[in-house]
Amino acid sequence: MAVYSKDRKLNANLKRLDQQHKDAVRSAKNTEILLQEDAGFLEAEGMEKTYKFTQDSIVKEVDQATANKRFELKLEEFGPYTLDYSRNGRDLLIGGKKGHVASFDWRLGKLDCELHLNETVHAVKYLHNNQYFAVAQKKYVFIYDKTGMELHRLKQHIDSTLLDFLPYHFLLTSAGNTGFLKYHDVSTGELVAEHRTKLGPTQCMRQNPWNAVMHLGHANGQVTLWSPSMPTPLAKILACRGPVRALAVNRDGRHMVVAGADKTLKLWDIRNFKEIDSYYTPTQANTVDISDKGLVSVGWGPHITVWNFLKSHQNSPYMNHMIPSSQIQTTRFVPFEDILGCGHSKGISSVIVPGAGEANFDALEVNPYETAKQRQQTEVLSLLNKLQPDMITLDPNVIGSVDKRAPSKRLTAKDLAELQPSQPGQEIEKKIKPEVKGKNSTVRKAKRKLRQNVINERAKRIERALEKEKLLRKQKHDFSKGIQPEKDVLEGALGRFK
Amino acid sequence: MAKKGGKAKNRALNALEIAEAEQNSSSDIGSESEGENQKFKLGVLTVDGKDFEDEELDSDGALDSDDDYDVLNSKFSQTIRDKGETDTGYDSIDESELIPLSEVWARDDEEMKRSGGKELVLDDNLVSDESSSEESEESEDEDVFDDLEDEENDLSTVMSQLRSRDSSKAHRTLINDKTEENAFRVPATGKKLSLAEMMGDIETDKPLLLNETSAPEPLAVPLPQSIQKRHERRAAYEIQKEEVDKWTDSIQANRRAEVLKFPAKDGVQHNQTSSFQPAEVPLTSLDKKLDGLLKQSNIESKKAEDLFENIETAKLSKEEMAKRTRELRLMRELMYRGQKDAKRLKKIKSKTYRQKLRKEKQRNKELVEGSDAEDEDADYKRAAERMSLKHKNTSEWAKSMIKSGMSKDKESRDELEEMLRQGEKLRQKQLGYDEGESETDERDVAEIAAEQEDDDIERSKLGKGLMAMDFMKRAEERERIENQRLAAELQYGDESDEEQVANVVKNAGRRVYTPGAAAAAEQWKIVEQKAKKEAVEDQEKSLENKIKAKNTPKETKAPEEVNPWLADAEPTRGQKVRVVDADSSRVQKSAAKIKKRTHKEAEMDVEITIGDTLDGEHEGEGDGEQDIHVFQQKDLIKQAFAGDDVVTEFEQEKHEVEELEGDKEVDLTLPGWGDWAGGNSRKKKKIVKTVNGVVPSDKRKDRNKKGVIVNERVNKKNAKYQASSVPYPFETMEQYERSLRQPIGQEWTSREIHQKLTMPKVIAKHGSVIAPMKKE
Repeated sequence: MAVYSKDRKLNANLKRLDQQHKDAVRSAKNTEILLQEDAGFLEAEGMEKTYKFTQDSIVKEVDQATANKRFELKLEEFGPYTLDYSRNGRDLLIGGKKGHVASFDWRLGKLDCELHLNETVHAVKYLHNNQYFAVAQKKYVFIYDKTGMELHRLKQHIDSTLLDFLPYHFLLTSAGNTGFLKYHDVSTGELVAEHRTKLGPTQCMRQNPWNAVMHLGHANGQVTLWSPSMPTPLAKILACRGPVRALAVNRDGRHMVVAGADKTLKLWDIRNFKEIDSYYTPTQANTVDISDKGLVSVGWGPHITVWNFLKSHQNSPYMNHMIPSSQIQTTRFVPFEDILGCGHSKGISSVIVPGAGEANFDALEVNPYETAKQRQQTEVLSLLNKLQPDMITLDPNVIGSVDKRAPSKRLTAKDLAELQPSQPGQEIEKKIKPEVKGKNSTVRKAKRKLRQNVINERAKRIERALEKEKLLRKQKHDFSKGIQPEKDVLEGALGRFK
Repeated sequence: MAKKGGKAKNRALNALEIAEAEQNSSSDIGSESEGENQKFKLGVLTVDGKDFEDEELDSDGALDSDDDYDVLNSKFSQTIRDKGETDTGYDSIDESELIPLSEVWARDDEEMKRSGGKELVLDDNLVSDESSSEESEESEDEDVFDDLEDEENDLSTVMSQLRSRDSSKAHRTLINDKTEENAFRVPATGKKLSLAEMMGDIETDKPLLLNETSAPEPLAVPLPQSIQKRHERRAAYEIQKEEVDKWTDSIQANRRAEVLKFPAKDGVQHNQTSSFQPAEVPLTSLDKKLDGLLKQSNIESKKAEDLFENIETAKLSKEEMAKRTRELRLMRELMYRGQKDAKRLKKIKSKTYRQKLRKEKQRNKELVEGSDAEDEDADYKRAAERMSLKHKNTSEWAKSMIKSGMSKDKESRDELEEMLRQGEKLRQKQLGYDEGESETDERDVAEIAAEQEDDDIERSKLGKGLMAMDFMKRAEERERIENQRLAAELQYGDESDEEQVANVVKNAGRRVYTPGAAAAAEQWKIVEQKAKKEAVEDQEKSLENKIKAKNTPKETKAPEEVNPWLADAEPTRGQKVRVVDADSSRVQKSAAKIKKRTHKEAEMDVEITIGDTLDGEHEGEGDGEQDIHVFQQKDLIKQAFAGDDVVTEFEQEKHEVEELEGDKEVDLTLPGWGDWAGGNSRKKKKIVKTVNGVVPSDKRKDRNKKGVIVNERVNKKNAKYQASSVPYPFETMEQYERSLRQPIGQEWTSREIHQKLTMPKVIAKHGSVIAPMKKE
């Protein structure tokens, strides 16, 4: 039996806690039998290579439900498309550069709304569920609801080109050409923080889902990590030599993939701040995304390449796909699905990537099959459990722990006494001040200002009386202390001028 | 008020019942008009076995006004509760402990039972219910001595009455004493006291009271009242404490319990596994059948087996038994010795002994296996071992030998020569000869090549069927050319000294362009040169020559122009390209193998250059033009971003941050202070003060990390979510953080654990009666 402390009661308590933890681990292990779904990857036989499999051949082999999920949307007029999936992967929000925005249930093909904004659309983002979404337009960021009605115009977010949403903090973040990173609390409607990056227009922005730190890519090849509570970046990483084109962070917050304009694709360990691996892309990558299971999709030119290099170095990609005569704008993996959505200059296409999605979902957390009632419940619950923006740190485990600067042992009264030798004079000098209301309110200030210039009889009289009173008080005070009233040495000489 | 009324009613009812009961039980006792009420006024309770409960209820009412009501009340209510559970509950309450006086009475009671079976005890002021009503009217303020006299008469009558009562009934009497204690109060035993009896106990002849010799001493001054009371309090405290201490165990158990459930669970009793044990006697017909079968097959009974064994041993004669035991003992002894031996051998640490042992083992093995059964892997292992150790005279031992001139000594020279011989043997093996071959002929490489050629030609002549086919022929041809080339290379040395960017030498197949190819070629060359040099070295006859050859300086080559992109990128993989395939020679194979194993980093047999890792499409075809194109583009990029030197900028920034956040040294030396006029060159003492910064530069998190700046400043807004010191019950930070380890939310744990962790401390079932705590 481990002995933690000499204090028997504390020891018993700690032992009990230990036992609880042990039980919890065992019980968690037992619940693994509930995870019946298993992720599977493409497997090649003999001479075959997984990256040679085309989508058509995959569609032939997979079940009908999965095959239905592969689709193409031909939207050639409204320019390159960016897209975003809701947190549970049910809904898809697309935004064409030339002002076409649409939100729909992509599996059922049920359209929620379709907007033509007649304005440049830079980025689209769902908020905590599919009911609201934000669109970064030409000048401002707007919030629309599911029906496409404009709810808010966020005039603080000027010239934003990038949007992201922190679901546990209810923070909408935006960055763009101004070089400012802004955090906007969508539950209270307040702008929580705005940080000046001082690094020019932001090239790309993604969140770290593990600790809600924002990663911003800049033109000088740096990636900066931000939290709303610090006006300076938490960390700076020199990821590439050219501008950072795209970046993505793994779900467990361990890996970051950065694609640069210098055609490098680098894998960073952002807990230890170490570069793990480095690859070259044939041309600049436009977009990078990491799936739940750690597959990395890279969009470059008309190509999409899916890699499985988070665990080990790879010589060949996992999958390849090409959309001829187009430029890939955005790729996003669908949560809980083996699907990769790609927005490109000719529309939207969804690509089957076996093994990409998390097969077992936690319905208490994010439920892909939720009903309207459940969605409302979740919304309320998540609002109740909302985290404060101050709680965002590089290491979220420090919340609730003991300050590292504090002594590692609890100080007894004796220790404290030794630490601060009490000085008898100090306590007496400390005076208790009565709580007086401040006299410098704006109204008073204004009044005072008004009064200052006016010189009338009454004011003069009062002034004189006050002066006299002051003098008398001083004399009285001096008398009580036994100080002789000071004789003015010059009185004799200058008295005549009085 | 309503309650009281109820009680009174109850009392009346009880009185009626008891009156009836008593009338039935004893005819002697006259009917009493006052009934129970009077009884309570007198303060005597008769506890009868039959109508116990009723009596108790009444006692509550009766004792309303009493001083020690509380004690009694609680005690009695306890007995009522306990009664349901245990029959002895009432007795176990131990009135004696709480009321010392009643204890006395009880003791007297028992005495009486022993002597005459009298059940009732009367006090001087108290009269039983059986006594006549006139006594109750007697005033209490009468003289006590008068009372005593009266009482004797009264007692005698009462006794007689009582004796006539049914003695089989157990009566217990509690007498509640209301009178004050005084010196003259005598416990009434119910027996007449004679003076003789009283004096009988006095043993001494001398009259006790009269002491003629000494003057009458004054009585000791009684203690002051306050002190007396204190003593009393102390005594009372002791008693009380003893009583209270009995609860500590149960209190502690309750405190320790994670959850207290009320009412305590003692409902369903589940079957224990032991309750399913088979019955001793077969019950059903099936059982009987089974039993019979088991008996027949003799499986069932262990006794029978024992018996059988007994018979077996009994069959043996005495001598035979002795012999057997002897044998067994011998075996055991041998085994023991063997073990001991092995242990001893294991303990020996001598190197030479081990070497001898190993050699012997190997010899034995060879004898068993034969030298021809050679596995490639085993071959490799042996080769590697020898290469590293024995065949070279570069080992510590050899060097020291040479240095100290011990090589002139015959023995050591022999040793050295042995080493070299071994090395040679090994090298030959490495070069692809069989052992026997190498011993017999010292042929030239050219000869071998010629022979091989002949062989090839012969084979080609022989070829029919598959071997005669075109592609096989082509492959054969290629192989032949390759072999020839290799032989030539070994013979004349590597003549192709020109720079080879593409690594085309080792692989007749495709060409691989890599930035690292040149380097790889370089490395390969070095390896070959080394091998050659060693071969030359070995051909030197004398030891000195060998040493000389060894010490000649190696040619160094100027480092090749490197790509700054790649030089900066640290974890570059696949720099060394070596393609080992079926048609590479054994030399290459083994060299590659050794190389592979010695180098820790995981190198692949086939590695692809960095340039084309990402575009899988080029991989299969490997067309050179595209690769070249990519290479050129990389150069272009290098040029494109050459202007803004982000790396140095970043480093500079990092340096600045380090300076800013690090500790600072402030020179507080005043100019001219302690400095006399004139240029005295004596060094002055500098006064330097360090100002603590955020973090010293040697403790930064990004200290050894290139291209990373970590902000070390304290985030004050986070500080409010942290404990400023270790919170109370915990002593260290580790303990506290350990306690935080287990989250209780249902998102993080299983349902079972979540419910367990969030269970309230006390669970009480609604509407159920919660029994009070029991003392242990």
